[in-house]
Amino acid sequence: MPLMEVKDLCVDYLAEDGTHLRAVENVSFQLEHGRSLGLVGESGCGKTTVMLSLLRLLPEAGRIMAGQVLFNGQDLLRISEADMCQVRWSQISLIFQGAMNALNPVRTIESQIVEALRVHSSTNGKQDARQRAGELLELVGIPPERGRQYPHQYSGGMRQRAVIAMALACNPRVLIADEPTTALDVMIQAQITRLLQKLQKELNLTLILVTHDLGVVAEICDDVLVMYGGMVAEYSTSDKIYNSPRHPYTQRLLKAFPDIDNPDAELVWIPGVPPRLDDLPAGCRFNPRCHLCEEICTQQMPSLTAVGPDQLVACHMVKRGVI
Amino acid sequence: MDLKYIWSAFRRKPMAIIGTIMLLTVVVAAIFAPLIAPYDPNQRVQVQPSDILAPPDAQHLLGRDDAGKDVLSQLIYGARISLLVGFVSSFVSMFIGTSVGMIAGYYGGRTSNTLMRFTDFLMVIPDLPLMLVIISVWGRGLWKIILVISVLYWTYTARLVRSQVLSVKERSFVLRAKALGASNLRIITRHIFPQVMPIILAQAVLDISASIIAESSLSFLGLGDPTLVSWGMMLNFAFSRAISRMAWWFLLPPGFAIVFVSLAVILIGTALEEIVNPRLKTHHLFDARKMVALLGVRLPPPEPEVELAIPE
Amino acid sequence: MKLPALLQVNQLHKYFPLPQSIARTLTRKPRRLVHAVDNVSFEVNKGEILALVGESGSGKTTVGMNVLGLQIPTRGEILFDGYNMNDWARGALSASPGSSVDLGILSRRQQILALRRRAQMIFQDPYESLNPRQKVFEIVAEPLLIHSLAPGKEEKEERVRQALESSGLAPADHFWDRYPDGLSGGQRQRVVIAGALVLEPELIFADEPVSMLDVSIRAEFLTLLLNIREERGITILYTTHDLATAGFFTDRMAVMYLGRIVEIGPTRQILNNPIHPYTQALVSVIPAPNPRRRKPRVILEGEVPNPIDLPSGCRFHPRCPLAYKECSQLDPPYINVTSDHKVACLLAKPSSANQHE
Repeated sequence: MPLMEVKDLCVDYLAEDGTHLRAVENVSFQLEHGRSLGLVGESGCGKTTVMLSLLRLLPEAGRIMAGQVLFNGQDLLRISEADMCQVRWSQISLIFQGAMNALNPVRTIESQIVEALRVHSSTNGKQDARQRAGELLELVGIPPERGRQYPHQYSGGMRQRAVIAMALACNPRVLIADEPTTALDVMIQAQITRLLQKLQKELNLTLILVTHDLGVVAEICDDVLVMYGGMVAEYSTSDKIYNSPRHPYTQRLLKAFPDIDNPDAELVWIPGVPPRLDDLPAGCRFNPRCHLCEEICTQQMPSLTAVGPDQLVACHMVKRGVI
Repeated sequence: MDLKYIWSAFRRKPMAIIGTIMLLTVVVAAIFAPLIAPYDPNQRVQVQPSDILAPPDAQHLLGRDDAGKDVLSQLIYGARISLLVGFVSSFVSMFIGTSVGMIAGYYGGRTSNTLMRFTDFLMVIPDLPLMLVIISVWGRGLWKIILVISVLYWTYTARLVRSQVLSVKERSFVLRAKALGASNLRIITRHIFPQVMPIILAQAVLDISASIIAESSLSFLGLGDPTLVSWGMMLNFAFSRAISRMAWWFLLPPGFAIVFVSLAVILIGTALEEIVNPRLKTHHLFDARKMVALLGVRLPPPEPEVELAIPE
Repeated sequence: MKLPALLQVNQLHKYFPLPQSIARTLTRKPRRLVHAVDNVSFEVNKGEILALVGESGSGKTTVGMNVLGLQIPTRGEILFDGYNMNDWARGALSASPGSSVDLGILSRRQQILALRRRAQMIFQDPYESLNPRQKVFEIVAEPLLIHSLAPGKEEKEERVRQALESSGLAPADHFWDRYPDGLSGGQRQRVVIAGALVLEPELIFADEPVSMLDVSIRAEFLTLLLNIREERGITILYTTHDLATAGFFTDRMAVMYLGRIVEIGPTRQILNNPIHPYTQALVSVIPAPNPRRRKPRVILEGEVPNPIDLPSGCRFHPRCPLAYKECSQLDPPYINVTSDHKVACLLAKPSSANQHE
């Protein structure tokens, strides 16, 4: 029984004149207990929208139009806001992109963790909360005494750890991290990915990592969901995605990644730019840039089909036997 | 943030619309005064004793003043003075304040210190008493009043502009301009000023209100231009002569007019300030606008928080 | 005969004084300094691409700013095509023999402009480096205005068009009426490049130009820089904290740590055989884009210390997995591993097949 199951999620954004722009189309995936899922795609592919929809944190112009998010026997999209607040942070926690720069500059790190704990009534009283805050800081590799310092006294890497500590305050079962390593130095990135792996193991945490960095995903994710233009292109285990990608987009995306061990490998990239929401192509959203595009691709949106155990691809060429 | 954005945010604020309508009413009245006012306040009239401080009637909707002249006409013509002083003083002080703030902010160092200490000095001296002293010594006159107000009211703008310039000049596109070889003048006018301009605009509008009140205060204290009708002057005469006779029609309208115009301008200025207030770059956990902008969706402008522009 | 290098940096030091309390000033304690760049020397030949690799605080950006004359060195010398940049930045330009243009007779402003034409910069943050109030055309044409080039409208359009198309933004008229906020990050960076190319410079300082772009478009972008070098012979000084991008397109690489170069040499050689422990750690954490090839990573603990209170001896010794007693006492000199590969480490030995555990 998967821990979370997302079925046919569709999300729209309202333009200024009221028209609906479909940002996310029929996204489905499952989250298995203790495994980590990488939600991968270029900027604007809808991965952040999916992430926010899971917790119903879309900006005002966002509308969840269809779908289900099954978690713990409930459909998160249909429970009341009050019930949803119980789920946020205590069951499913979230690290926003750039959260390390959004820490309250006039409060100590410890007090910010304590606040998170007390808002969710996770502990009994302030003393308890402080102690728990200390434990959390230690868990992420920050000496507890430094909890009494302010964000500006922390380096970037430490602030990211503090944010992770805050997200883990209420012992959530799922942790969603949006670009947790972007904007950090490469050595600090390695520290953070190692930390996430350790936390996953020690706390039996289920992780969703939203990022455009295929390298990070290869390092720590078990399963990968590749998105393009709001739809799922390919959904499989990490091993299969990197070693036998089937969707043309995934294949090209991997080839655009410089491989340090193979410096003379030819780097190809995909010409063109991802589609704008107000100018979506008909049929498969990748068709204008796809080298395998045929007529049916411009007419019909492909659905996710299994091409093997644990490998789903959304491409018309599957049926043709081309890929 | 450009004018189009400011305008579209502006017209969504009820406060702004109300203020604009109020101000436009006064502006129209001032411009078309000769057509609207029933009498010409400067015209000599034959007056009988019963006309002095006569209460309102059909021919004089707001009654008559202590010299027997129509109060309503004076009120309408008085708008001209208030608006003239308000707009011109604000413009001149905006000009002075912006220049001082820009130079101090951009060049820094000793220049900035000198300019800012001078600004602080002027800021600390109470404005109205100083204006009184200057006018008493220099003499009365409309342009003298405008000048005196301008020369004392630019300090707030200067501080505001300087702190804005300090932050703008650190931005990458300014460094790029430098790397291209742009002269300081070019950087200041083409790159820094456009970023600071919205803030100056908001502040200038608020300055109008302050100038109007300053002029009214000076006139009320008897230091206004004696040849012109102004609301402050009306209040001056009303205070000394109308109170004992309970002639509310002479006392209340000018006061009400001053409040009305000031309020209109403050509503507009506050609305503008809310729109253009500089926000920290990463004050939201995620900038929905940026994120969705990548998807090509135009969202309506976000509701800004109410914050006061705190000078450095 | 070997031509003199286009750019020579000799013992560059750049220190920033910290603001200090009155008490400290009164007691005449020595002013605390940020040692952003501490005795850096290197050369770049015409048409070469040199990577300055390092994490935050390594001084790589400061080196570039000094090379471009946007900052004045505290000590040391920068020679660009024979011109001593310090003198120029101070307004008194002198040319050493062999330089191609006599700038001695120009006014200070003209000197500055002459050098700005030849060395340009591209920036890290595509969302901040373009003036949001200018259209793309104005952004790319502004350098021409500043330098009084291409006076006619058609000439300007032609040069802007060429610059935009060389940066991959074609057709140019599709882009030049747009404002930056209508462009993606990658497109904005191309506008920045166009703005630099329009002056036809000889040197470009690219300060982490791809770190804020999606990984999937970095390769495309760096290939663009490579093409620019091929077609126009432009020399590129490229900074990054990510060895993978440096490995992709640069000829030589200088690894920096806390204001010093710890290893410098041909890029491939360093990546295949990193000698300095810091370089080794950086190479080991480059992610392999394949879960089957996860290799053991040397993850250094802690962060780069602040460049104010420097460690004694070798600056890297507090974090170095191979440090031993002498490392905290001696500042390691440069050892020539090969004729063009130098390392500053006490453990390095001057031989061409140098490897240590």
